[in-house]
Amino acid sequence: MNNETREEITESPPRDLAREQLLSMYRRMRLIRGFEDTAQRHFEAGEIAGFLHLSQGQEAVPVGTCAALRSDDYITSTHRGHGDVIAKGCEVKYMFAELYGRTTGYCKGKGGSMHIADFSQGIIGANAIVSGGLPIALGAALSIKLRGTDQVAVCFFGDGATAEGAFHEALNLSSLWQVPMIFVCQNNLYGLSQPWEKTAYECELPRRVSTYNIPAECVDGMDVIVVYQAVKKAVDRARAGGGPTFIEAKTYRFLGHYVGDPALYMPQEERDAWRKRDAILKLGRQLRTWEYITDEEDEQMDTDVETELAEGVKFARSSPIPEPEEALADLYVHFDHQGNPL
Amino acid sequence: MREITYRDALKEALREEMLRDGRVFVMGEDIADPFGSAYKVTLGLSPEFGTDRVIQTPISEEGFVGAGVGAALTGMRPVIELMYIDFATMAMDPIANQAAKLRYMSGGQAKVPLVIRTQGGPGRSSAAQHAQSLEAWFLHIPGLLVAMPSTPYDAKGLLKTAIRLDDPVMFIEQKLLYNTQGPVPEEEYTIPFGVADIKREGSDCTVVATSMAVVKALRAAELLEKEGISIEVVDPRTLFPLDIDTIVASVKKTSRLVVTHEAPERGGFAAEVVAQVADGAFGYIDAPIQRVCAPSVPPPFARNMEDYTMIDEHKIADRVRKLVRCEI
Amino acid sequence: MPFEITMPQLGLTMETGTVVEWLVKEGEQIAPGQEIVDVETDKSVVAVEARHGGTIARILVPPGQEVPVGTVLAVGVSPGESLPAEWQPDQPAMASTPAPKPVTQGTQTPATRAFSRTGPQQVSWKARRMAREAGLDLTGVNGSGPGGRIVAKDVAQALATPPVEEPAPARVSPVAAQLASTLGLDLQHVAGSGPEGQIRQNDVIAAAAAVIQGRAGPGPSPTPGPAQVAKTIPLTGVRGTVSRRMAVSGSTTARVTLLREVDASALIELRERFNARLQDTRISYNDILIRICAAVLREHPGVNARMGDGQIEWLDQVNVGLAVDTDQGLLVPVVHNADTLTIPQIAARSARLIEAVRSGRCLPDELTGGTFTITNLGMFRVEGFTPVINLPECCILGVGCFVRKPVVVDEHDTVAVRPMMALSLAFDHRVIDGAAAARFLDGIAQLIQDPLLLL
Repeated sequence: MNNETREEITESPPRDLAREQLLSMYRRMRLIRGFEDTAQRHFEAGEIAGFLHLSQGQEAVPVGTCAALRSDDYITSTHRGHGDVIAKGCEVKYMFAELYGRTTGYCKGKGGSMHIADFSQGIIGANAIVSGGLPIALGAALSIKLRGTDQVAVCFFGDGATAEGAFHEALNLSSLWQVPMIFVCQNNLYGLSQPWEKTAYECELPRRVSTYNIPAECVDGMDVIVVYQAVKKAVDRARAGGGPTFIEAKTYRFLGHYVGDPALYMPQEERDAWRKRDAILKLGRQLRTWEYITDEEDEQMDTDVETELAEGVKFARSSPIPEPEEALADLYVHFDHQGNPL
Repeated sequence: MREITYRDALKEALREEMLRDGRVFVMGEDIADPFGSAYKVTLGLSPEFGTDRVIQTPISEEGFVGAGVGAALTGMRPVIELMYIDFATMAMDPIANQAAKLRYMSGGQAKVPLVIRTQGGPGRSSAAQHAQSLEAWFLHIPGLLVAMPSTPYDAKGLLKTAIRLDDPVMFIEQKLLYNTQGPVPEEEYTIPFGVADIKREGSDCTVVATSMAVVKALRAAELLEKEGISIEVVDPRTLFPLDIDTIVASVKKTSRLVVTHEAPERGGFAAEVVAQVADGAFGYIDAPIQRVCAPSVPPPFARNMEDYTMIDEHKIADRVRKLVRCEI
Repeated sequence: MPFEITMPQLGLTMETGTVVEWLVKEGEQIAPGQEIVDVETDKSVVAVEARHGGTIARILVPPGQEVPVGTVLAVGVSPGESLPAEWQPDQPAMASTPAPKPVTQGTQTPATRAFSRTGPQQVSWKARRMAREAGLDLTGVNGSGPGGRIVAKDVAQALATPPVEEPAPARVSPVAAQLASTLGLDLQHVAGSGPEGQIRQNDVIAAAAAVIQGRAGPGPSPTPGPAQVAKTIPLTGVRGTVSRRMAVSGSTTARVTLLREVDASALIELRERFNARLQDTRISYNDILIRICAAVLREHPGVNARMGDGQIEWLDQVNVGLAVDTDQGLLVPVVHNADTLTIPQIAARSARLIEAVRSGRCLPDELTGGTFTITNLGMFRVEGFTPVINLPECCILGVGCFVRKPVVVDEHDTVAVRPMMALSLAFDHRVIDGAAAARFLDGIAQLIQDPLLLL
């Protein structure tokens, strides 16, 4: 662990987060980082098909958010959603299996990287259409309200989505309907190669969103505790019937848009500066400062995560490849793909 | 048997299903009372069921259709109204990329029990953006079911089934059919998807028609009967799943086929029927298969031009005549 | 100004025509109204008249070529004009497609393209399937659809009326052949004056005379020109029916003829004794033969049978038909249940039947239902022959005349003269085998030679 040149940790441990919760969040962020790194390696080795949109650097946002959620709360995610779904509870071995296109993957190999879903954990779909998940999360929140439960629906999306019509429709309707929806914007400052300042005339998202009469704040997305606290407040409000909340978490992706993107549009000094603000390293320092973890435990956690990842890959590679005819299945509940009743 | 309008048949279906299952709710623009939706199908529902189950929305098709998808994924059974099928363009992502594909992409985890009710068709000089027939778009998207009832009886039975199915349905009504009347039983009934209805039996030529074209084809049958030509009018009722067996059996019997719909000819549903029949009834076809559809132009405004582009009983009868007389 | 002569539209449904013959040449002057080319449509040959006077400059479509209506067939020039450059002979002749219309600026292609539905022998899918299943050759079937398309009803029609198979008359009439054989005349180069060039007796005599008179050797026939029809006999009524039925029998049955000579002494004696006893009935040999055959048929049910629809059917009644020569032609009245009748009863029946057919007053029921036929040519001095099976029966017995001849009559090789009669049993091998037929014939032979076994 590289601990040099970081600011001193002056704050005391948060009162609203137990040591176990913090350790769990720490491990989970490392698991996500490890998953992304591993997936990248295997993709570059030609073992994974399609595209990979990786989220190294952004781990604090999904982990902080999901730490505030129950398993029966809903999330929608995006093409850059591995971190979101792992944070919500997806196991890396089934995720690798999905990336490798095996029958044991979450979506039986039918979805791939951009469409991971696990309805048993409230993950109602990662969406490859930018802003596609916003109306769906809205619908899930509407459904909660109509059914009268105290679930909440979180929508993960990026800065790029704030330019789409669906973003505004979802804000408008969620406010009109006062549904238990939490908008979590992972603003990593780039929509593919388009910088944030060129995406919106009003760059202050909370100010823009406030015109929809939704409480909105901007938080440091590189601090998992800060993210957690903001989301927790929003979740509590939503469960109590207080309606939607908008949270912009400023974060950064350490890689380009997709694996293979040289990211020439991202200036090197900017990249270096954000690397220094690595949320995992920060939490690590905090935990050691608060004596919530020893160096040995830290190393052990590292090893555990490596092992979990390695076994995940092994599981994926030894999982069965689907029969080609599987391509015809699972389209309808009541019919086969040609319309014959099942 | 009592006769009610197509509109009232739909309303009865909605009401009965909402009473039967508390998870069913309707959502769309202007659907609550006193306006009760553009074609008055939902009029009377909001006083009975409240604004929690009859949710009137602003003009945000992508937003509320997408919300319908989200609600369907999480335990509800929404019936969304798109006022005009022409506005489906605003909601194509939730329809085509989300509703149609979530079950497949999730490897069978998701169920999308969503019904999108809409209407199309020319005849009121509504002009190009309010008079289209776009069923072919939805037919072409794997993952959707497409229904097009032509009578009050079919409308009620099919809508009830659509609401009870767990797959997403595009339920396409027709603006000029709302006021038509027809027999509808008092007792509850449903009509399964994938079963065509032979609206009129005949022997000289099969005419496959959807929605308003069924009405025109039946009128054409009356005209032709006076000349001693008997046509069999087959109404598929659901474009997908399609009851191709009934159509093929009819063509094997008559040896001639005309397919007719209000949508433009090029790339329309008729082309799909023709392709399947040319395969399934090959050795039984005695004359070139015909389509009587709108020309491939948008619906024009002026009444006479719109009439020119619309199919009618004379155009259908004329084509049948040419086939039966061996002139084509 | 130059003018074009195009393939005209000679009928509402005409889409193409064929140039049959040019009636004028290039360079020839023509007057308005003059017939200049014969063209053929699927209905007829029509002469096309010139609409302009002038000179035919270039003929573009040769005879035999089929072109769409509107194709330029030839170009001409008005008097005093010369041919424009593009029609000059050193330019290659245009293909038979019409000249492409010049595309004007901004011309749109029509919204719906009318595509041609004609082509070589258009056949609907259904018609093709029907023809294939029936083994029907479509060449020669007339199409009633547009552009001459063959449709289902055309095939149905073609299948319902099969072409009448007229057996071709022999190249040489039997009499002429016999005469030529007697004279030793080679008929190879003799032309016939009979129907379809049949060589007749007169042709042989003439050819022989020519040889005798020294105009020997193969040469051109003495009668120049095609033979004329001398007389026609229409294939109607009985003649027509017999022709058709004989042809069908000949082409469908697997006919084998068994020949057996029997000693008719007992038969002759039996008849004499019957006729001596009976007052008002005369027994004929045929009556006895009918009774004998009926009895043997009863014992050989496999012969009292017919070919059904994909199966052999044994019949419950024994109905024996007797071939009778009448003025109208060959008719076969039937004695039903002949095995239940006595010989006198059969005689009475057959006498009535023969009278009825000869006078043309036979009822249809009396001519149908037979399960076996006897045909007796003995009165014509015919000994053995190969009768045609009377379908749907499977067997027919041909009876010949008595021939008094020396035969071996016992095991000591004693020779005596006996009246021998040839029995020719033709049977359909599809229904019965040779052994079965032979056993049946043997049964008949036994009873003829020993009629008391009938009792």
